[in-house]
Amino acid sequence: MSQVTRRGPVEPRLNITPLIDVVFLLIVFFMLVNNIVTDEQPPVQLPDLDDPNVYAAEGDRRVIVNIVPEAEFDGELGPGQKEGEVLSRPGQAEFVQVGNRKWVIGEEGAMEDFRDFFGKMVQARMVNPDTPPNIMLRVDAAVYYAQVLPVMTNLQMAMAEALGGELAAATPVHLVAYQGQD
Amino acid sequence: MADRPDNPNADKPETPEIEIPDEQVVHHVSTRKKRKKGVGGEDMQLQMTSMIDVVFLLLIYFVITANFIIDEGTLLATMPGNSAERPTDAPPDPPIQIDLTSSDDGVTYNIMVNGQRIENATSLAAFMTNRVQSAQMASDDIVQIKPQGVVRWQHVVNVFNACVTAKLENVGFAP
Repeated sequence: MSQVTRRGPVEPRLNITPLIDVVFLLIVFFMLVNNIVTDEQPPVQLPDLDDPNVYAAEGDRRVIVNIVPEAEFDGELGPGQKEGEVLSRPGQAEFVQVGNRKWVIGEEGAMEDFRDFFGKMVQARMVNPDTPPNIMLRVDAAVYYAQVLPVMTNLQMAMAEALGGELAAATPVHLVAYQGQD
Repeated sequence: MADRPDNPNADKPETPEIEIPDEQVVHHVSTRKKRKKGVGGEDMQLQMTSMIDVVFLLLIYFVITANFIIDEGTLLATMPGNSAERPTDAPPDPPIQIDLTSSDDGVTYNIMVNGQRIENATSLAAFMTNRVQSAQMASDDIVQIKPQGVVRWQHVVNVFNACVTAKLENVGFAP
């Protein structure tokens, strides 16, 4: 605030204490958000399609089911990686992950627990009483179908339980793949 | 001035000027000026150094922890075990089944549509589009993909995508 008084202009003074407060708030905010996002979507090499007809799912209410393979994923995500390279990795799935909880496919009681938890997540994230959230199935490209099938069937059962038969039958599941380069 | 009452001192003799030496003269300094100057008596300066340090720290932190997420798109699918509802009461046609089997080396795969072998996903898309256009099948016919257990997810989604490219609406997985 500069003022001009009868005695001449006054030097402006900037108080930087609130600025430092805001900066620290921003740091804390971004650190928290980073953690939440990396929890929900573990690194997975998604299928790379020949002619992708995928679209971006609208709506930010979603439940993401991840199937992560056993092979140590080196974090190099990318479409256009040659098929041989992707598919030479072992296809055994290590676990199914929803949020930050993981279950091993085939372990006793794991699938019931998964159904239970998934049902609760869906109910908790309903957009409104007749609109369920987007359910996204993020599976690594190298995983065997035999590992994905039980997850899909359990998913359907959980949806039927949580939403009721009719709504569950009308709710599609989104399969996630790379969008491809423009 | 003429209407003013008479100055009572008008006729008094002039008071002699008294000389006061300079060091004893008190110059009046207003207290307002004193308050404005502040404790230090000097102007305050903005310290930019610390702020620049914090900003650079923030920048470096976010540059190091940033990972660029490649765009992920989605395909809509119905799950196995979900009975897709047909709009009409017509007797349900048997769903068109796409079998995916894996050859021995685990990398190549075969697609069979109702017994007919297709080369790869791209020709599958062309094949399906052809059939829809020539009215051999409708775009809302139920198509079920039935992969073998050892087929990798990559191929499954590729076939799925091919069906979506052919504008088929009811594509799902076989129970």
